Amino acid sequence: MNSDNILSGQAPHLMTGADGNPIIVVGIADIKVGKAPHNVRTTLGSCIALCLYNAQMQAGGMLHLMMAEPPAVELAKGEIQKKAKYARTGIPELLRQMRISFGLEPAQLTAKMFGGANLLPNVTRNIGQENEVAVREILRGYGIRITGYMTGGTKGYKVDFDLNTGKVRCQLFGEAAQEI
Amino acid sequence: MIDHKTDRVIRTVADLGMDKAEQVFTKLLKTSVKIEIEKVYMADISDVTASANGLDTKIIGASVDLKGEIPFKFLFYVEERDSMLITDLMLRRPPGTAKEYDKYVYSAVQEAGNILASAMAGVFAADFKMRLAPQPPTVIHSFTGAVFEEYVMSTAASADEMLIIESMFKLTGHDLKCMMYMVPLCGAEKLIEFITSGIY
Repeated sequence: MNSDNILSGQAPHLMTGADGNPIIVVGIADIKVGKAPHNVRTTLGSCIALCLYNAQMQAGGMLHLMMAEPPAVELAKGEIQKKAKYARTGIPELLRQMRISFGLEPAQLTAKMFGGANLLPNVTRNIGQENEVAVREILRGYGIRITGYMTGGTKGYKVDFDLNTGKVRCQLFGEAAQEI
Repeated sequence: MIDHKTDRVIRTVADLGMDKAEQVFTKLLKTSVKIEIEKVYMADISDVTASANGLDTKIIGASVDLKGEIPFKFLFYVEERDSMLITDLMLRRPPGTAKEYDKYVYSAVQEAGNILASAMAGVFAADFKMRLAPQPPTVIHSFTGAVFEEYVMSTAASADEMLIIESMFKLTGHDLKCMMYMVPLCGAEKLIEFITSGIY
């Protein structure tokens, strides 16, 4: 891929990994769902990546959310165009897409969660932590179990979600990758 | 999508800023610096960041908030492998002197971002009577996608699309490429309205 024009909007959402498996790339405020042999990839700072998975179908989805709650006015008016921006609206939307695409219900899914770092020094509001708290609370409401997570800190995250296995390869910037 | 007229207006204004930045950097580095506007476009925040999130590259970026009536967010970055070269050039040291990503490297990238953002602010002040105050730069060294996430966060919080002015920064005689992005936080329409009212 040409790295000269990183934000050109021309780079594909679907790439091929070193192992030959197709990779679905997720942007911020974005949702992607898929099945094996795909991998789902994203990079994170203060945002949270929520990965939902069903092992029997080898199907999963990723939500890359920015903030916990939408502005109250927008929520009341039902004017939220990008539901994936917020945990409150993004998680129901990810569940809806899992249901439509694969017929999977919340009880058939497990969750893993990554990100929520605080990359910027001198920023007092910890958006990453707010995001994590909101995701945990909403998942609890759906009865979805969190089976793995790596959150917080001050470094960026790179996340590769393998839909063949449900395992997530998570790398903190400057550190070795871990499988979760 | 941006229409042709809008594209030309924004490019013209951005070119003025880049010309100024070229002069400052050519003097500072004692080598010819060429800054070219690559693209001006509207992009969906998810599409545009997916491009960065798919990359394996690591970068060091300096982000500067330009505060004023038409606020901008400015980002200058250099790929990790090239950051040491730009540090040596800025510090007038022989290339190869810098060996690690230390405070000198971060300071050099920070200063580059500061100079470039200030050049843009100067053009707005001189040609459009608009005061833009550059805030202290924030340096982030991380995965490309993580740097961009923090860069676009404040815009994406209030808008689903953003206007992006993308420029490339080349140093003659060195295989080094840096990129610059400017995102108006007020949105494209207000920016155009402001620029055209300053021109006519």
